[in-house]
Amino acid sequence: MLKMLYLPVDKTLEEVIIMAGKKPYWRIAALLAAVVMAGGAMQGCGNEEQTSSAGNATDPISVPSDLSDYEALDISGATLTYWFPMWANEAEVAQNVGEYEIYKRIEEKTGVHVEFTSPPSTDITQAFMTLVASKDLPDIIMQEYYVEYPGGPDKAIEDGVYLRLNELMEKYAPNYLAAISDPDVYKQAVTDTGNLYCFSMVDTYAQPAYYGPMYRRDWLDKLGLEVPTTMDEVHDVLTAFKNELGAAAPMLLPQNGYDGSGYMLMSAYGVNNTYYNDNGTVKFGPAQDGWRQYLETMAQWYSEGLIDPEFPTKTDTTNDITTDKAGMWVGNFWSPTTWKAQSVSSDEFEVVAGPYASLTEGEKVAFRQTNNVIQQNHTAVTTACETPEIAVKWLDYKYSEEAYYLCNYGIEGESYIMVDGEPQYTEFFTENKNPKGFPYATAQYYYLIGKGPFLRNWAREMFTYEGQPLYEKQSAMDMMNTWENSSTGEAILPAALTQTAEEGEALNVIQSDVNTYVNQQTVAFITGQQELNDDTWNEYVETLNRMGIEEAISYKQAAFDRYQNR
Amino acid sequence: MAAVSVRQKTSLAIGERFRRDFRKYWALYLMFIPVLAYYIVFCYFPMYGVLIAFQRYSPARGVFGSTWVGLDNFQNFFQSYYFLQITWNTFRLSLEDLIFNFPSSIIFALLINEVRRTWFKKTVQTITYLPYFISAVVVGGLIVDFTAKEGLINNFIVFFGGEAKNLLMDSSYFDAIYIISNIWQGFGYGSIIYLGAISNINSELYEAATIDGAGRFRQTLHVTLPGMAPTIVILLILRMGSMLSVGYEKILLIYNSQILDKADVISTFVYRKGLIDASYGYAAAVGLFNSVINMIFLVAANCISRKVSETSLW
Amino acid sequence: MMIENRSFSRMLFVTVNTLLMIFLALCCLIPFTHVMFASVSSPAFLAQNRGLVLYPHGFSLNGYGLVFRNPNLIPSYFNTLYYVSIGTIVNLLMTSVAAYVLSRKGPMLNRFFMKILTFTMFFSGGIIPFFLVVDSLGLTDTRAALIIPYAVVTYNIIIMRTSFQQVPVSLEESARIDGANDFVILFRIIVPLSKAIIAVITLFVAVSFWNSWFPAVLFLRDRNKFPLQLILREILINNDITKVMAVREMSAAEEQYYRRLVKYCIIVVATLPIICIYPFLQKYFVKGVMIGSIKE
Repeated sequence: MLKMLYLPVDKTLEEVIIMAGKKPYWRIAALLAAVVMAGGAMQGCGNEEQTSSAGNATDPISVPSDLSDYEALDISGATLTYWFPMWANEAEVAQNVGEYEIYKRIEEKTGVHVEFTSPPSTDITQAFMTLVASKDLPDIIMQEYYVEYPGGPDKAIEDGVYLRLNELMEKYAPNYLAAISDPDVYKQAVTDTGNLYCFSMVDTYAQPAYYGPMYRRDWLDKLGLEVPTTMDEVHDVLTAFKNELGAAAPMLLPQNGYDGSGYMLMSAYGVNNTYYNDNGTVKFGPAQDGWRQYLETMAQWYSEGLIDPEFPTKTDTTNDITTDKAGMWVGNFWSPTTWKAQSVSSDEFEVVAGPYASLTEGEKVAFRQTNNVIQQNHTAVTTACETPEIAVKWLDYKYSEEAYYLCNYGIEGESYIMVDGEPQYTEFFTENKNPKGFPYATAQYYYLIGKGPFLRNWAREMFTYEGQPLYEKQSAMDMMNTWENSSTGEAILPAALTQTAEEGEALNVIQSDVNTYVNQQTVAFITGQQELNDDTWNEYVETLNRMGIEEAISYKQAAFDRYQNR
Repeated sequence: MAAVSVRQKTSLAIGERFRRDFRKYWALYLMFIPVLAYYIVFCYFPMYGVLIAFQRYSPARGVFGSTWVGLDNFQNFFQSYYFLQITWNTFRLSLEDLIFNFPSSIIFALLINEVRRTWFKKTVQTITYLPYFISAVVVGGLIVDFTAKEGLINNFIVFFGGEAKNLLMDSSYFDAIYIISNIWQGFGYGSIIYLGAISNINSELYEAATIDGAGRFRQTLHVTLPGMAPTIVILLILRMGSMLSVGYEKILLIYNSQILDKADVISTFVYRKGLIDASYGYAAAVGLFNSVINMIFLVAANCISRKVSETSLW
Repeated sequence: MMIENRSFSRMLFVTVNTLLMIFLALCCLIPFTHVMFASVSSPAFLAQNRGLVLYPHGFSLNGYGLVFRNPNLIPSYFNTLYYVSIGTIVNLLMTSVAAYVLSRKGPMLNRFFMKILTFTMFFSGGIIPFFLVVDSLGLTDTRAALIIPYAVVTYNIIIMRTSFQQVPVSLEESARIDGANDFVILFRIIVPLSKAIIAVITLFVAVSFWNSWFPAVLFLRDRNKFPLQLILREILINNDITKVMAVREMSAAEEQYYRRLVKYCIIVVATLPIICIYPFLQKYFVKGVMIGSIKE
C-alpha cells in the first residue's frame, strides 16, 4: 500500500524541485519508489502511524489499521454508472470513455463493469446543473475542474445529492486516505464541516508554477540584453524591442488588461487581480493602491507603444507571437513548441522564461501561478448509488500501488520498463508505437489516465520536452523553477475555500458587477480612454464600495477562517 | 333580421351558448386537443418556475423546497450599478433594429418581386438567404476580422484617405456594426415570409389594376402592399413583443470591455448570471422583469393594431 | 398576364434594381465563398494571412480529414437527419392542425386559445422547470426528448394561420356542402392551396432542428444520440480548450497549425446540407400556386 507518497519526507519542496531540475524527474520516481516500498514494509509490520490532528475542529480520518472490512468486500461482478466529462480532444478518439484501454484494464483488475456517460464538452456546466437536478442520477459524478455544485459540497450532501463518504472511506478507501494523510493535504480534501465527499486527482507532489513571464530569447540575444528581473529592466527591454527591432506589440496583455492566472506584472506592486491573503486578512487586489500603481505603469507603457495597442479586442494573441510582433507575454512552458512551428521566423524563434518582475533587484513577489497536491476532478458518489461501498472501493483502487504504475505508466514490458528501479517509457509512448499510433498527448488518455481521480505523477510527461531545440538552453523544468522561485506565493488564498449557499449567492451578485466594472475601468485607465488621477481613482474605489466589495471581502474572509480551522 | 339574431345570441345563457358551440365545432376542438395538451404540459406547467424569481433557488431542492426571499432578487437587480445602462442599451438596440432591420426584408421582398428573369431572381434569392445559415460564431468571427485594424473595412477607409483604427474598440461604432450585421444576416431570409404573402395575393387583383391602367409602381402600392399588410402587421406586433429582448449570442462574441457601456444588454447579463454564476433566482427575476415589459409592449401593439388596421393576434 | 411597361423610367428602375440585387447578392456571397475557399486552402497560407480568400490558395483536404477523423461525427450526422426529419413532420402536422383550427372564425374558444398560445411566446417558466417536467415524463436520454417537447412553435402557427385565413371561404363552403369534414378540408383543400407557406414553415422548422444543440445538452447523456451540432461545437472549441486548460494539454504542433482551417471546414460541413435542401423547397415559392388551384 502506498503511504505518504506526496512528498519525500526528508526533503523540502525546493530541494525536490532542484533535484528534479538537475536530473530530470526520474530521480523523483526513484524517491517515490523508495517511499512506496517503505510504505509497503510498514504495512507489512502492521504499524500504523496516526497523522497529527492538532486541535482541529473535526478529527481527520486516519488511515485505517484494520483492513478486514476492505478485504472482505468482494466487488467483482458489480456494475456502476459514471458521469465523466470528456474533453473535445478525447471525443476525437473515442465515442465513450469505456472504450479507453485503461478502463478495460481496470475492469479486468477489479471485476467491476462501469458504464460511462459524457456530456458535450462545450456545455459541461449546464449539463452538470441539470444532472444534479434530475431524478435519474448516476452512481458516480466527476466534476469538471471549473464546475461546482451550487452552494458547495456540504450543500450537495445536505440536499441529498452527494453522499458523505467519511465512514465509507474509513472502511473501504485505505489507499486514498493514505494519499491525503498529510495534514495540509487533508485540509484541502475535506469541506469546512469535515465532510469527505469526493476522490480527487492527487499529485505525488505539487508541480511548480507552469505559467509566467516569457521573452523572446533570440531578440534579447540580438540586442545583447539580459533577461529582465525588475520592472525598470522590463521597461528597457520592451523599449529596445520596439525601437531597435520594430516590434508592433512588444508586450501582450490579455483582453481585460490583467491576467487570470499568471498575475503578470501587478504582483510587483503587491497585489493580484482578486482576493488575497495579507497576513490573515483578506483583501481585494483591484481596490488597493498597488493596483493604481500597476495601472499607472501600464498606462505609461501603453502611451509609449510598449503594449499591444489592440489588446482589448484580441481574443487570440497567437498571431502576434508567430508573426514577430510581440517579444514578451505571459505563457506556459508547453506552448512554445507550437509557436515555433507556426512562426514566420521559425529558425530563430526561441523563448526564455523570466522571473516575475519586482520593483527592486532580488526581491521576491508574493504572487504566482500555484499548484496543489490535491488537483481537481473531484469525484463524488451520489445518493442514487445502491452499493456505495463498492463504488468507494472501486474508486480507491486507482490510488493503490498497482494502479499507480498502471495509470501512470501502463503495462511493464509493453509501455514501460524498470531502469534502476525507475519506470521508463518505451517506444510505445516515446515513438508513438502503440496499436492506435497515438501521440503521447492523446495516448495518455487512452492507455493511461489523463484526468479523473487517481494518484498522478505529473512529471511522467516531461520526457516530451527532452531533446527539443527550444528546451536546450533552458529545460522545461528550469522554466518552471524560474517562475516558482521568483515568487513566494505566500499571499495566495487556498484554492479549496468553500462558501455557504447564502454567501455564495450574495457573493455572485456582487462579484459579477465588480468584475465587469473592474475589467471595464482597467482597460479604460490603461488605454487612456479615462485619465487616471486622484479624482477618477477615488471615484473608482468609491464605486467598488457602493457595489458592496466590503461585504464580498467579508464572505471570503469567513471562508478563509473556516478553512484555517479545518 | 341580422340585428335580431345577434340580440338573440347574446341573450342566450353562457352555458347554452357553449353547448351549441361545442355541438357545432366538436371536430375542431377534437383536432385541437393534442396542441392544447402540448401547451399545457410543456409551456404552462413549467410556469411555476417563475416562482424561482422569489427564491434562493437550489436545483436539488426544487421550487417547493428552496428558501423564499421575497423581492430580494428584484431589489438586487434594480439597485445594481448596471440596471439603467443595460436596460437602456437593450431598448436602444432593439429600437434601432426595428427601424432599420425590420423594413429591410419588406423592401427587399418588394424589389426582388419586380425582377422578371426567373433564373436571376432565384439566384439572388438563394444567395441572399445564405448568411442566415451561418452560425453566430462565424458571423462574430467575420465581424472581428473585418473591423480589425488591418481588416477589410479599414482597407477601404485608408483607401479613401481615412485613418485606420479598430472599429470594435470604439463604442460609438458598436450600434452600427451590430445593426448592419443583423441586416446582412436577416434581410434575405426574412423576405421569404413576405414573398409567401405576395404569392398568395389573388392575381385577379393585378389584372384588374392593369386594366385600370396602373403601372408597376402603382400596382405595388395599391395591390402588393395591401396584400402583404396582414403579414407585416402580425410580424410587427410579434416584434413589439420582443422590444426588450436582444439576443446574447452575437453580442457575447463581439463585445469587449472597451465597449461594454454600449454593448451590454439584459440577455448577456442574464447569461452571465444564470449560466456562469448559477444564480438561478436572480436570473429568473431579471427574466421575469424582461417578460413583463415585453408583454406590455405586445398587448399595447395588438390593441393599437386592432383599432387601426383590424388585424390582430387575438 | 401582365403587360410589360417599357417606359424609360421603368427601364431605369429595372437597371438600378438589377445592379442593387447583384450588389446585395455579392455582399452575401463573398463571406461564404471566403469560408468555402479557405476550407480547401493550404493551412500554411491560412496561418499567415487574414484577408479575404477569393479563390483556393493551394489545395488541401486535410482540414476535412481532421474533422471526419472524429468517431462521433458520422453517427451524429445520422442522428441529426433523424431529428430533422421526424421533428419536421411532427411540427408540420401540429402546426397545420393548430393553424387550421385557429383560422376558423366560428368557434367561441378560438380567441381564448390564441391568447394562451401567444402568451407562451413571451412568458416561460425558464429552463430548469422545463427540464424537470420533461425529466418527470421519463424522456431524459431518449430521442423523443428532442422532438416531443419541441413539437410546435407558436410563431409558426401564427404565420400559417394568417395564411390559412386568406383561403377564400367559398372553397370551404362548397366542400362542406359536398359532405367534407374538417380533416378533409384541411388536408385536401387548405394545405394544397397553401403550399408556399408550408414550404416556408418546413424550411423554418428543418433549419431550426438542424441548428439546434441546446436541447441535446439538457436531455441527452448517451453520446450515441448526440446531434451533429454538438459534435461540431466540440471540434470548434477544441482549439481554444488547449490554451486555457489548467492541466497541460499538449496538442501536436501540427494540429494547432490547422486551427483556422478546421474552423472553416466545420462551417461548411454544418451548413452545406441545408443549402442543398433549400432549392428543392424554393420551387414552391413562386407565384401562382393559388391561381392554378382556383381555376381547376
